[in-house]
Amino acid sequence: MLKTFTAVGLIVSGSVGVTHAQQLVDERRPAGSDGTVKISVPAGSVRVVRWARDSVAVTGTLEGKVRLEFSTENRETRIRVLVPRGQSAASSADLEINVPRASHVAIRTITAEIDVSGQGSAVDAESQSGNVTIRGSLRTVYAETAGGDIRLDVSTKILRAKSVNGSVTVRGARGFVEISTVSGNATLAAHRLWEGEISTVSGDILFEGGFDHPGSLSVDSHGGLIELLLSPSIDADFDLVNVKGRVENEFARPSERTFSSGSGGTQIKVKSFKGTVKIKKR
Amino acid sequence: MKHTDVRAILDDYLGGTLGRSELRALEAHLAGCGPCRRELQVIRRLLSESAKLPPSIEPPRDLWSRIEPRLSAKPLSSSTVFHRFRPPLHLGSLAAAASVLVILAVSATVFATRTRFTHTETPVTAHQQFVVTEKYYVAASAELAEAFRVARNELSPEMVQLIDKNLGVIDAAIQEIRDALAQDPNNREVMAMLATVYQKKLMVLRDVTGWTSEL
Repeated sequence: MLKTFTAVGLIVSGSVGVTHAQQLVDERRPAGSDGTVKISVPAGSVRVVRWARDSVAVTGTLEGKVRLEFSTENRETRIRVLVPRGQSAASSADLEINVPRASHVAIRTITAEIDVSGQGSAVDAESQSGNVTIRGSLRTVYAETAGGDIRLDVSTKILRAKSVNGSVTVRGARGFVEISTVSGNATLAAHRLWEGEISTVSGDILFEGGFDHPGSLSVDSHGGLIELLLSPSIDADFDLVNVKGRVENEFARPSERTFSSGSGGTQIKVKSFKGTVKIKKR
Repeated sequence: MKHTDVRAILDDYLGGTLGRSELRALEAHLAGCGPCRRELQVIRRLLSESAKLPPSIEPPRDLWSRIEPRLSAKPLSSSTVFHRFRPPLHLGSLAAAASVLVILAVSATVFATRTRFTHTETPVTAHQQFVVTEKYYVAASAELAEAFRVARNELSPEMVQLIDKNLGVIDAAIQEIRDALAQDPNNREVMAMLATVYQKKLMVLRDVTGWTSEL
């Protein structure tokens, strides 16, 4: 049985005449190797690292009177940073959390930055305005933020990333990928893609990669630049719609809207209302 | 999830009407199941091909006039489709009703672009059909916008400003596409673009309305 270790210390730091307490956190709980870890941190930062142990460990600092709730029940571990009523939600926590490799991790923040790394199962990260960064080999990845940027450097078969204002950059994904923004830019560098869907309203879209033949890609922007960098030998059927924008196409004449490359197969659909569409050979 | 379960909901998957948990279960299954992925490809291509077919026979006006009230009446009474949507985090029936409106709007779009009838009487144009569809988007947007108006007090001023800015981007896009549609009322591609931008607006409103300043 794993040893449960808990230590919470208090240090006081002074700055320009203002004194505020900072609590040190160092707690560990046994946890199933493939359970669920739910984390909520309003402000500050949360870094999740997967490790090859059947336990969850939390280290870091809590600012002011915020409190850490750390509990395990059945196969679910909950880590919550609680801000006392009346205290600014900006009171932050900076935590590093180690979780079992096969556990499903769900993270919710308001402004806190999210950083996840390592090999493992599923990650579901959602922030209102914090940045989301995920690296590693993961089975599924869901990342969502309104104001922050999303950066995913992952080998995964199922990935969905959604932002409103921030940019989304995805590298290394394969399988199913869905990216959505409003004004943020979207970049997808993928290989062996089964099915990709990228959508923005005013943000630019850049796709570079290949498909697990026959794959499919649907790209849609109202006014952003759309740029596809594809293998010159790709076997694909293209369907372009551009109402008012310009088209630069290295696979067919710019006026052609439906055409094939090689023996066809992979379906590539591009829709733009007024943005420039560039389809280039890598 | 079994193969039979997966294949029963592939249409809903392609229609974008699956709830979050169903969607994740489906995608997890598809990730490891080649036959189901191929089934998905086949359905997608069939839909793609059928969408390209010319609407040789349009529904007669009298038929449409009977269908429209049914569509209008159905949204707020239908409960069968509720469970398919991701439940909003802190919303009540208002946003749920809006979600149902969206489903019906999508259904109406599919109806407008794909349904074939055997009658050859007075045709209803694609534009006329889309006008009905758009009503649902506008109604759903208005309901969610009202919910957001109430919920915005819970958010930081910076977040409210950011959301307002992006809703402005979306509304400007909607206006531009509507202007283009006024010039070319039966352009199905432009209608589809308008529907896509409306869906984006609904998605943003649905997401942010569930947020508060606390977790």
